[in-house]
Amino acid sequence: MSWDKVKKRAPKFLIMLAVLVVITGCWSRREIEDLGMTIGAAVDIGEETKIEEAFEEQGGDYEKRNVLTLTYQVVLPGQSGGLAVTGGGRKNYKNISVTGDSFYEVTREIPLMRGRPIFGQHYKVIVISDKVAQQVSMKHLFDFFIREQEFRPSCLVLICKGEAKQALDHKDKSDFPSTRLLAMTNNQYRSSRILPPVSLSKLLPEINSSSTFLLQNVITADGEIKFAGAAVIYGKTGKLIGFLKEEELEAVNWLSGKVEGGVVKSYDEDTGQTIVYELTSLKTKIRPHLNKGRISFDIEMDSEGRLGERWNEGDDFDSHSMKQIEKNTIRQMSKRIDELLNKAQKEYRADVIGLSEYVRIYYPRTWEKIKSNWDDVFAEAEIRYQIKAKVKEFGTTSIKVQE
Amino acid sequence: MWNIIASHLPSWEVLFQALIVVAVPYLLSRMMSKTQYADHPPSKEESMEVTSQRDFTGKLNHDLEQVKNEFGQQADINIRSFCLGHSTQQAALLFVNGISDRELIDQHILKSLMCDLAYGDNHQAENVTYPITKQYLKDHVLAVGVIKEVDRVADVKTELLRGHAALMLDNSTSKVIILGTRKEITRSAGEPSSEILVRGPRMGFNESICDNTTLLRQHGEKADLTIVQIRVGERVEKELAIAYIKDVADEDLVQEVRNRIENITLDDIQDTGYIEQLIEDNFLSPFPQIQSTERLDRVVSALMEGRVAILLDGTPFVLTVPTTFNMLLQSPEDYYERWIPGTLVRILRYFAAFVSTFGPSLYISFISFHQGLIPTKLALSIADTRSGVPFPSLIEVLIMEVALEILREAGLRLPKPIGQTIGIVGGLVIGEAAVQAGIVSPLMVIVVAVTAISSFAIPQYNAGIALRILRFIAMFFAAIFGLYGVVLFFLLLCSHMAKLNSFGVPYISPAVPYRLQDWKDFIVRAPLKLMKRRPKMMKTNNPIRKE
Amino acid sequence: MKFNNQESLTTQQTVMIITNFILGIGILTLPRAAAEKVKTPDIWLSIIIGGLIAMLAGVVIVKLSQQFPKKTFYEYSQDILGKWLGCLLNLIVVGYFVAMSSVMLRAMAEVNILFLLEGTPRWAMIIAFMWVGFYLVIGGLSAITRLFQLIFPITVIIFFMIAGMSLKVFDINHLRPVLGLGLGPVLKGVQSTALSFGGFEIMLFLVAFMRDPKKANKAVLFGIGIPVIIYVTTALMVIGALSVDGVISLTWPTITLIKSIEFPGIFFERYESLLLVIWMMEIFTTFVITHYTAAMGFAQSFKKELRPFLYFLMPVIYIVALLPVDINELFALSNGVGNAGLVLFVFLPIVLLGIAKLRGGRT
Repeated sequence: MSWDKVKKRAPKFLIMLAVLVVITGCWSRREIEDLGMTIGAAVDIGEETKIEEAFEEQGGDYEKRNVLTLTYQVVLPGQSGGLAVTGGGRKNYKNISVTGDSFYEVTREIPLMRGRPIFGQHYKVIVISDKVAQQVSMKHLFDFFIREQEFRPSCLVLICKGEAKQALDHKDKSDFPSTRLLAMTNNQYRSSRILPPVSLSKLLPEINSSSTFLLQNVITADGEIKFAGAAVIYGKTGKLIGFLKEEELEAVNWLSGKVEGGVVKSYDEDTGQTIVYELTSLKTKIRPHLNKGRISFDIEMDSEGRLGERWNEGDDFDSHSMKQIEKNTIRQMSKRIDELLNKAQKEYRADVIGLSEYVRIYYPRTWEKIKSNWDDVFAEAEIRYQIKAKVKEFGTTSIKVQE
Repeated sequence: MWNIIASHLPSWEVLFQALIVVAVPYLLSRMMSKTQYADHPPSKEESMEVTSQRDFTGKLNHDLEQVKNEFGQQADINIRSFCLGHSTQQAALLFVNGISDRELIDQHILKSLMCDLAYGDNHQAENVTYPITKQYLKDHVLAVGVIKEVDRVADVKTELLRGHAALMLDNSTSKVIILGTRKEITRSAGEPSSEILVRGPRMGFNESICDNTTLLRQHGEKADLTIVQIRVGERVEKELAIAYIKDVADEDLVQEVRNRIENITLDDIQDTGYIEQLIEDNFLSPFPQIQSTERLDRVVSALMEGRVAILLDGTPFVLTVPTTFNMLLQSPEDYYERWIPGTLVRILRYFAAFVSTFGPSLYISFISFHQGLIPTKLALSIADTRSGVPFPSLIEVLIMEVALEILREAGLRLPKPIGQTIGIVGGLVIGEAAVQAGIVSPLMVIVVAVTAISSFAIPQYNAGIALRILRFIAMFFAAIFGLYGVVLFFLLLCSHMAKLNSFGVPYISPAVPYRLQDWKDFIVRAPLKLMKRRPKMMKTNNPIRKE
Repeated sequence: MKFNNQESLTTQQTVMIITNFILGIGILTLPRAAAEKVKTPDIWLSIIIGGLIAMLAGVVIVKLSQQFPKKTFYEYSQDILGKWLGCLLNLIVVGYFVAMSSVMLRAMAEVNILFLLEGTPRWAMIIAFMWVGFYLVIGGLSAITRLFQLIFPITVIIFFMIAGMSLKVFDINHLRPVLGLGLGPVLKGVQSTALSFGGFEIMLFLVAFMRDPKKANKAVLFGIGIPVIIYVTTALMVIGALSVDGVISLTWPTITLIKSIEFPGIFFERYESLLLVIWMMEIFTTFVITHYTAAMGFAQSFKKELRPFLYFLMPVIYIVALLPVDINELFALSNGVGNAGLVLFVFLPIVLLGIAKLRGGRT
């Protein structure tokens, strides 16, 4: 073929190529409505659902051990024919459970059952059952979720006491359970009993450095949920070793200074009446000391707040009375902190406050030596603390009953 | 060792793909090797010599016969034969009906030749000696502004056809007097309907080059405004003017414009659009590389920046070169309003240009490829509304965009009263029925509407068209590669613009090369007090605007 | 009027070319590569030191190039080393640029497959990318420069916008202590950080095109300084958000960081798309300039036209880009190219400068 012919045919060739690309192209195209938009997941101890059992009886079985049950919360797109009205504000979702011994494999079992495979880029929460966390190391548990690029690293991790599935199934259908859980973690400015949210990206360094950390605990009852304290994940094993109660969690937050707002209720020494101090800000200063190989900490907590509620007698305009309230509050906080420290150092022997960070910063060389058994060092460390509370104001009124 | 090498040896597939990699651009560049404006020296020798050489003899009858032959059967040539004054000296006045000013001919030329010469003022009539010479007529009788003499039949013909009258005398020299009796049918200079401003002069050009140059002289700088006249067109010659300000514009630029215009060889040039297409740097580019405008103020300000304007007889559209991309997104109003609104509006226009080019393609890439990147709630509601739509997003977008383009085109050509009907019908069909029928999703309609509105926000009509074309290409890129495709397209577009020049000025200046001085009039319109210099990219002779 | 395509470069344009060349894969991988070696939060110090070394090498290169005004490395290498040896060196340098440009392409394809286009074949992505690059490259150096200048502000604005967003998850404690374990670990990281400044070697060729070659020193300092700022910002935001322990185990730490930020309420919720967009643009710039420089190497060594070599290099680059079988091989290739660059452009110029001075002294 002569060059002229090539030249003449070039346009045809190019057009054909372009058509070819457009036709065979669009390799990765997937329409948004054809995706199983997944917004949450729960991990439980392996227990097959009835459907799964029925499937297996008919031969739908494959080689696996029933170690874990993974539940996905999938949003069902409305069938309303293009109009964005979902009946009566009810949110449509479906929880799909699959059982097996590999997260990846069971996830890929779902396409065998449903037209819309799991699409994980809108993950909001992962709820882990406490039983699983007790048995399986976090490192193994989260390998899949961190490795798989589809999942968002901003996804929130929670522990559920009891069956994790329950945490993703609510009676109240006005909101997706997953988004509700997410929304609840944003309430830190109203309560200091919520752990600062732990996302997958924050979990990763903790797992990598084998340090002890806390995860928010959720409890369920009759289709309702509540945040209740935190689960302690022990660094060395990566497994759950116990729980902190709400109030203990609050004390942890005070110590680590991660408070945006919350209340401290105390009782008046003389009358036993209720006094509520609302924290508006709390600043913590942590300073570790190294003395002859022994580590000790000085923690200063400087809080400001307002008088929230008061049942005992007293004149709010009198600063002496205010001092009294501050003292009460400090006593109450100290009591809680003592309880917490006792539990952390004696019972769990685990650094739930995250003091290791400060040793690493202030004594990097010592830290290199002790980091492998930091939790034991922590258990022996002396922790001194000091609390300051300041009532800045008492609201719009001070009720004065004329006698 | 061998195994390692073997496992790395490229397979036949890879080799084939490697061939494709080089073959396609090679063939493409072969096909399009002549996209740049080629600089060939002006070739003037041919063409001119072929015209008839018959000269006039000075015998009226014979000469008239020649002219009649030249015109053939055409009816609109008017020959008025008469005698000069009292004498019997024969003369003939030739003109073409309609395009000559009859009033001027009747009242001033014929009257003074026939009556005034005889009866007019006595003292003159006495002194007349017969036969009257041409010189005498020219000096004392013909009160007409433009007069010249030609001696070739072909020239007489062209002059007649341009509306001038020809006066022939019997027994005279062989030359014919051409009288400037051209009557122009002109519009009054009103506000141009294609570029409307809220504030600013309401003055636009009209179809007469005379009026237009007059306007320029009136409103532009008077002393240094140079207007060079060139005639273009092989068959239908037209008056063309190149205007520039002598001590501002770069001489090389003026010379280049002249060269390119003189290189044009075309029968008939109807509009400056022809010239634009014949002298632009790259005819394959979607971007207009030459600005055309009806607005006087636009041209004047371009001249002041050192640009060159090209005016053509018979069209109100004036070209200004060089043009850069940012000019297409500027409106004279930016300067008339205070600088803060001017700046904000400009930013808005750049944003609109972006949306109008990339809106639908981003929609496609997010809906069909990267559903994870949009907020969860939005993703859920889109999935909800799209669940009844049977098409992939590309088809969905194409349906709507094409429908919208047709609607726009239809509305443009229709008489005004019907145009509104189109708007209502189209709006209803597109906005309501298509969604109700489940052909498209409501979000899609919003996207299409927003891009359409954005494209109308671009002050230059032809720039808007360019961006609309690009929008479709971007959509295909997005349909193949998603966001990656959009980025590729963006890079391609940037590469194209980086390569494009308009008369030696980079098309993307003043964005690059960075010249802070020029950035005062780019996305930001700096306060006038700060804009003391003319654009540096124009390489002006006289860079300082004011002290 | 002469409409010349080949304008000479201003100092500021030279800075743009160097900066755009240097910025490349590093934005995404540098924090991990450095953290692996340093293991303390002082990575940013390693980066600064790496940058300083690169500046030093850049200055040497400039000195060398200034010895031969209006000549590129490809031309004067033959003056220094004689025809055959010079030609051989040129071929090695061309090979370096080809390998570098292949690494860019492949890394771009890998990241794309992982984060944007699962399932799209690599060849399609790479070929499309190469074609767009080729379209620019045939426009010559001035078109390339203009594009670089056009893209650079977009990159910087978006980059710092993203960096600003990451403040939301930023924790200063992750960056403390400074120099906790002394300078030792910092120096360990310098080698891997210095690698990511590969690109300043373009000065071997650019000085010849500069309008004012005397300012080449200034250009190289700024040209490396800007990437230093961007890399240090990247390291600070990544380490500050994910901590050293987290970063070590992430393949593409910067993307993971951006993925973990959510700003609900704005049209996008996640911004890794933006990061990937500017990153692809930076890869594009690096690819284009390496392709161009490699072709220039052939053209000037054999004193021929540039265009045929541009065509010739396309399949070569493509095949090399598809050579690595897996991602670890890609990283290995990338490191290999970086190390080769270290030898070629840090040590060799010193030797060449010495020879040139000696010869210059003799004649």
